[in-house]
Amino acid sequence: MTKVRCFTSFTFSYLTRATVLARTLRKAHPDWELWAMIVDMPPSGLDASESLAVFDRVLFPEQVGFERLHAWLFKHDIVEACTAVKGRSLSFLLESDADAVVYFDPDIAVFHSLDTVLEKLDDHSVILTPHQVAPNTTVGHIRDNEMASLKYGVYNLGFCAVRNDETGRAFADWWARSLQIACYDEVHNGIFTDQKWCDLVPAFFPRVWIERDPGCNVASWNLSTRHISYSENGNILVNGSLLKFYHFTKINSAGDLMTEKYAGDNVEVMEIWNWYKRAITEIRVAGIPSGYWHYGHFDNGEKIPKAARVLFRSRDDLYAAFDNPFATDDNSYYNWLLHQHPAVLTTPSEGGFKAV
Amino acid sequence: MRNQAFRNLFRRLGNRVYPSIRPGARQGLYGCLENVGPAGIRGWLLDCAACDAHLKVDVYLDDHLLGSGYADRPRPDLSQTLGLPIACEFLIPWDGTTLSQHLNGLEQNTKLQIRALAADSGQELHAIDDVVRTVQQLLDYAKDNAATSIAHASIDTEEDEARIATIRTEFSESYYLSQNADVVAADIDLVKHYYHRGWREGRNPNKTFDTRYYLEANEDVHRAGLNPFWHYLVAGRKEERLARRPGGYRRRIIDAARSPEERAKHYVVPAGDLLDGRSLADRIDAALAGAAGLVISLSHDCYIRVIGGTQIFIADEQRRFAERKYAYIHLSPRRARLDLAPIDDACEVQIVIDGEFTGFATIETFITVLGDRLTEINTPRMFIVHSVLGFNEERIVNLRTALLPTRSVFWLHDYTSLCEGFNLLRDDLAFCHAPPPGSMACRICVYGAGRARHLDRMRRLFEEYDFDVLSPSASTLDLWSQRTALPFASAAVHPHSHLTCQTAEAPTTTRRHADADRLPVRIGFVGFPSPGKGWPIFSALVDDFHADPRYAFLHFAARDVSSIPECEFVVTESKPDDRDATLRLLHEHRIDFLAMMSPWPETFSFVAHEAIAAGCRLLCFSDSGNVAALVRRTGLGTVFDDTAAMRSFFAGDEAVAVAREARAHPHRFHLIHSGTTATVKHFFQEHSST
Repeated sequence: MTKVRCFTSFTFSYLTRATVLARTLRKAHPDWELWAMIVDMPPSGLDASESLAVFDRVLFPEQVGFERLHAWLFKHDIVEACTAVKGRSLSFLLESDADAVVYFDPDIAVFHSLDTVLEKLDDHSVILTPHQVAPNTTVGHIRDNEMASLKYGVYNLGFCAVRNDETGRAFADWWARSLQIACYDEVHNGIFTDQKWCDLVPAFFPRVWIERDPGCNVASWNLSTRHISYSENGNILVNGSLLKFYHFTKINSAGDLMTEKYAGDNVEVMEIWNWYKRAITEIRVAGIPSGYWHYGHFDNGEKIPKAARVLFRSRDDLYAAFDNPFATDDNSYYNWLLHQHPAVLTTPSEGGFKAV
Repeated sequence: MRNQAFRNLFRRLGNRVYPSIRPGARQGLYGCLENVGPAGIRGWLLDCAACDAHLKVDVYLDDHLLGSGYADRPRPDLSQTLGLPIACEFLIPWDGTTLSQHLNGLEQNTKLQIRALAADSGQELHAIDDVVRTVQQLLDYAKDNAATSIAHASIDTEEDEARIATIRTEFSESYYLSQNADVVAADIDLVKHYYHRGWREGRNPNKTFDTRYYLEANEDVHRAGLNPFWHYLVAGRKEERLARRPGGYRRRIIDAARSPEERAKHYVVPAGDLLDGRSLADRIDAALAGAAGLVISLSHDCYIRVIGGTQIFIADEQRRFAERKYAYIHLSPRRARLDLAPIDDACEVQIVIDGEFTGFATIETFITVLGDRLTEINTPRMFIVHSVLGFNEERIVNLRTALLPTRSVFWLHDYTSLCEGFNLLRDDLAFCHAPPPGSMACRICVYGAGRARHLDRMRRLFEEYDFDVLSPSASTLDLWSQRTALPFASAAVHPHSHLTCQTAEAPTTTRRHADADRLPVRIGFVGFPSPGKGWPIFSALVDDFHADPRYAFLHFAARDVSSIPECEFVVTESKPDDRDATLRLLHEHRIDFLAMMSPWPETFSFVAHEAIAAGCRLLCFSDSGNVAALVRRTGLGTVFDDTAAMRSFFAGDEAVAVAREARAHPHRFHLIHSGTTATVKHFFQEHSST
């Protein structure tokens, strides 16, 4: 692959993570073109251009052709929104002379070169990485890993690589359409954001390569079968293969416990984990309030409860009626809620998003 | 202090009154007094030839029966050890009457006797007198508790009782007491204390269960307000939930790893005014008067004020140069650092002239004063770097301009010239082999971020000085030569000490053959309990085997160095005027094996040489540099590939067999301190000819 475009999707709260991704990508692949898809608006006072200088190009959802963007975005919480734009962004980036487009989640860091992975695109159109490539043997491990994959998707869509050919573009367009329909965290409905859809990819498209290299997409969900070591010349190895990229999922929260649990006595994993914590702490981008997300609030500053989004996306009449559900004027969705479903506005969101 | 004393005493008592049981025990009466606590005297007693035998324990103070108990309570830990269900724990309870009758007024010389009897026949099987340890415990207990009677504060429901009973099956009272000094005097059953309060206070029920971790890792248990240990025993273990944070001491090492700058941030700077130029000039003039030569040496600390191998070496070097009539001026940074000082740092130094502390000065003042004095002096001038940590290279280069040394020497006492992490431990955890600075291992390591710049600064120094590099060992020079890209004039091995075969049997290096079969085998550790010296590995070894009667563990270190109660502590302070202290004490304490579990390639190790001269065998890892090389060269010790191999050495019969063989055929070596810069002959031949 001679010309590779690589993108990630994030909000300003994840800027430190995305910066680490970009810096590590730059070291491993200085010739790749790095794009940032930002599902957010910069907080006032932030010099976004300086903060984003590590990327070659920056995109906002407005630039990639979403219809009725605000109404559609409102349907999603922060994680759903950042994943919902991936398909459309992929299609957009393929409309170029790039030979391939690669996506990474912002909480990934790249270590050794991905050349041996990307060369699979010589004969294939799509590369996916499964959460696990080897079965676990104990009930507890199976419950945490295999059964989670059955619920949340076989493939981890923190990474995918697509060749700019007919099949690659068809995959991107199909994914974009699917995510336009439903990119929600609704496991009970068989949907988990952009990911569960992709269980269908090997059936729908030819020339899909399932990457089984243990050095790819290393994370707590596959540490039970992967062992990290260091060679005398300073390479990081996973089951003997070079570590290509590590997915620091849920770092500083549940990911800490799951990672240390599955790393076990292989504390060499925790060296990488600790490095990443230091890396995102040292970047320190001033001017981003904790938990900031422009689309997390109505235009009166009130936080949007998840229930308000779920109600909005479950009723086509509401979606049709309110073009900008973030507004709070007299004819707004907010005002409608205030009169028709006031309890929705006071329902606390479950879980919630905790930024660095 | 009393609680601490009690705790230490109890720890020593635990598992040592009787020999502790081990897998494979098939005959004999085994037992252990585990604690004297609020509930009474607790322990276990087992006849291995008949594990189901019903045993009774009577405890007498003088001739008065203090109480009786039956060894019939389940012991899952022993069951696991022996591989069959064992009920052998006893508890001899007491009440307020017992306390007031027997413990008030108890005296040190009271005789305590413990008798083991067959419960059915009453036949006495064994009796043991213990006039020191247990009576002392009773005394301590009585003083803390005699005024109050035993009473249980809460009334437990049947459900509580059932849960407490479950917890009791794997609760270790001895551990609980050892970790919770404040609970010693508490007026309640320890299991109940844990059940009701202890877990909420983050206390642990035994050594293997971490209450705080379990609650942190299992939010459902936390939310439900369940006793975490009870949950673990009835459900968590089956569900493969972890009892404690994985990774053990290795995890703690990497979590504690910090950059050199951060680690040295809080180092204390010694107080004192700076010397003025005139005073400093007078001192230097006095030293130079009649001197045959001048040495300026640098190291990271003030060698006359710190105890350590390099410091003794420098003292030795100064003394040997004095024999050659050389003046010896030593500089060390006033503010200690673990990296090079910033470029703009004024770099105040501590000055020691001919072994005497002279004072503080900026290095620029020193350079000016020295430069003025040297213009008219034509004797040889040597510049010796033992360590550059805390200096900045530009100041050292300026020093060269003033000194114009006839020879410059750089010692490889450590690997600072390869990395700021001077012992080449990636994240303080494992030997990194000094990979290229841009490697992934360097990227993630706490020492990696500054390494490229550090090497640039080292290059500046090496390019300026054209050093003769001296290595105390061949293994270090091999490694350094393979990994360095620095320019240098020459490189050679010059050992600090060497061992010579003794022709006649000398009392300091031989053992009595008659003792060959004596147990326990004695295993020692010398020095500060730091990860770089392999203390966590030694400590884990002690943890695993301290109750094994085949072994005894000793820790030799300077006064006030922290240790663990399972080790006998021996105050050991080697000083320039008593360099053989370590050797002498290792010999006096009949150490069979010295554990030198350094995870990094030691450049020399005086202790290893002293241990060999003291008649010890060394235990080390293959990555331990000159220590492993010494073992391979002499055959006096064992080199392990990993900790598992070391554990099996002790778990099986090999350690005892090797120790017995070594005692039967003691080696005879004499240690000769030979190598400092002053003993490199060709350096001085050149000087003579010039």
